[in-house]
Amino acid sequence: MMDLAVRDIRRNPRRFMMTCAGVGLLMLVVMGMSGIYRGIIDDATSLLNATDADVWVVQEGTNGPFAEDSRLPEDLKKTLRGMSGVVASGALSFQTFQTQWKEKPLRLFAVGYDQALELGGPVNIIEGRPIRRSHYEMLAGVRSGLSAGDVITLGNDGYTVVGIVSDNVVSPGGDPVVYLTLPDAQELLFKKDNAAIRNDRARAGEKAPGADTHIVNAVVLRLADGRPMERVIDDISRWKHLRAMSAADQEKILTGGMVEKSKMQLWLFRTILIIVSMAVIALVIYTQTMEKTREIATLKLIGSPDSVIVRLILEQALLMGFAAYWIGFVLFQLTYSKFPKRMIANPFDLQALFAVVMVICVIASISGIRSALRVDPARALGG
Amino acid sequence: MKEVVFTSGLRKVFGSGDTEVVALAGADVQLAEGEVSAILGPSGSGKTTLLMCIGGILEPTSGLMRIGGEDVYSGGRWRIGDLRRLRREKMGFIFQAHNLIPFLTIIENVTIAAELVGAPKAEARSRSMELLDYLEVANRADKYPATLSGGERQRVAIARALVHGPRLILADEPTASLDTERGAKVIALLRKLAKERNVGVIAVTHDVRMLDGFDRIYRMKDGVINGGEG
Repeated sequence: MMDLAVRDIRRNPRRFMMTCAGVGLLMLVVMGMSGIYRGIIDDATSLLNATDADVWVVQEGTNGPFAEDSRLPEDLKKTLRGMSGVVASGALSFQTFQTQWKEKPLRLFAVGYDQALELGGPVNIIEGRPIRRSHYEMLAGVRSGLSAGDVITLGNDGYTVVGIVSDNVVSPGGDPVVYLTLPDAQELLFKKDNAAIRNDRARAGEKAPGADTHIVNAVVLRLADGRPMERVIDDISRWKHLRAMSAADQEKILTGGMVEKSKMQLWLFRTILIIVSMAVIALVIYTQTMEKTREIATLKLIGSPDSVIVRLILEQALLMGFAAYWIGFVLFQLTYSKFPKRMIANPFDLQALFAVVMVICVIASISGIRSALRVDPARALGG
Repeated sequence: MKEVVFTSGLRKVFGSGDTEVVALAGADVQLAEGEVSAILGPSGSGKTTLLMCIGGILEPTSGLMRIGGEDVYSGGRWRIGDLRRLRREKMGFIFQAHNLIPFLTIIENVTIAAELVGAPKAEARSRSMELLDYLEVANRADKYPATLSGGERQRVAIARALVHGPRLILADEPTASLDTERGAKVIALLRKLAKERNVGVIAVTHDVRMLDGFDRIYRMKDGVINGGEG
């Protein structure tokens, strides 16, 4: 049996393609939403993954440095390194800065790391050199847009970018990462300026404590192969009065707390857009069906079974969804890397969207099919 | 000659009680192979209702109807489950406005009727081309209906009605959209094809100028049909 749907489209391809292009743009936005969501997840966990630690140790009663303030004495890095089963440790501090760069605001997420320790520092330096001096040097992530030799002001001091790190690492909020030595980062974080010290002394007399900068936000540990993580976590929690958690727990806190709202919002937008796409396809299919009432009546009158009529409408809806999806897909592939917000093209998301589009096309065609099946063949008679 | 259509006391009543309208008051129609009959009457006389009942589009209220010798309606109900199959296998339709499918080419408009009865594509196409050639519209086979004149379209409609080898052609005002000359040609063509292919033709018309071309004429008025005059 000849394919009536294709022949109908062939007769009026412009309207079909215009509709497909319109729905394709909606598909592009849906894909963009998924890409943004994947980008947010990846950004949120990038620092966690780059650190490559098994256990995160933070201040007792807190959820760690990415969720709230966590302060630990720096010397814990040595105490914990000495525990049975721990093969590497690192001490880290985290701080977001907003500075001016080329007369524009530049937000950076500064990670202070102990160069002498094994964990938590930058891994892939693709340009320049590692930090060699104790002060006023930094490594910048590629996404910061900085180059080796640039000097950035953080606090009261200038820091020279000595190398570029290739890792696609950003803060959980999406700010590009720079790496500083731990002493520099601690000074930026905890050192009080002279006026603050004078004010503290005025309030508390000579008993006012000096500025202790030997504080870190987290200590990270790597365990020996085969060492039960739960036991180490339990030991640290019970005897050291600290909170220790696995990297997976830390990831749950990050994605659960920080990403959940964005996820819900993006899901909502995606759902709305898919419903809009379905409504557009349904409306177009219904309108096209109503325009073909006389032809459908004629087909029925000359004896066409319902399957011929159902196929005509359903196939058009599926072709419309198929073409719209591919228009959206091609546009997405061409543009997603150019969007200011990081997007990730996830194959599963794209395949799932294709399946959803096909399903909504079937649903969208139902009203057209029902109307077509109700057409009285007698309508073919008369002038 | 074999019987193509036989109806006896065919009635169609719409509504009931005070709103009851008798559209067909016991129609007796006989049509044999190769015979061309006209149902003549003014608007509202019930001729389209009769055509729809014979075509299996409208269920009669009572009476008896046979198509090609097969009991189609009797005892107050259809005797055939799939009326569309009856239409596509045994009937061809010609409409007042030709009703060609605008998004199909001329050859496709004809071929579809053959494909609906299960003819292989190549055979359906060759039969269609043969008919279009016979009806002198083969040169327009790849065109769309909108590019053809009214007469050409009606000849294509005739080809579509015949391509699957029906026993009966039901024509609804086949000359209404044509001028007298073209209308007469269409009736003459139908008559010729009916004789050559042993097909019975029933044409509903109110155009008295065309009556010379028919073997039998049924006159209808207010749902009542006369016995048919030769």
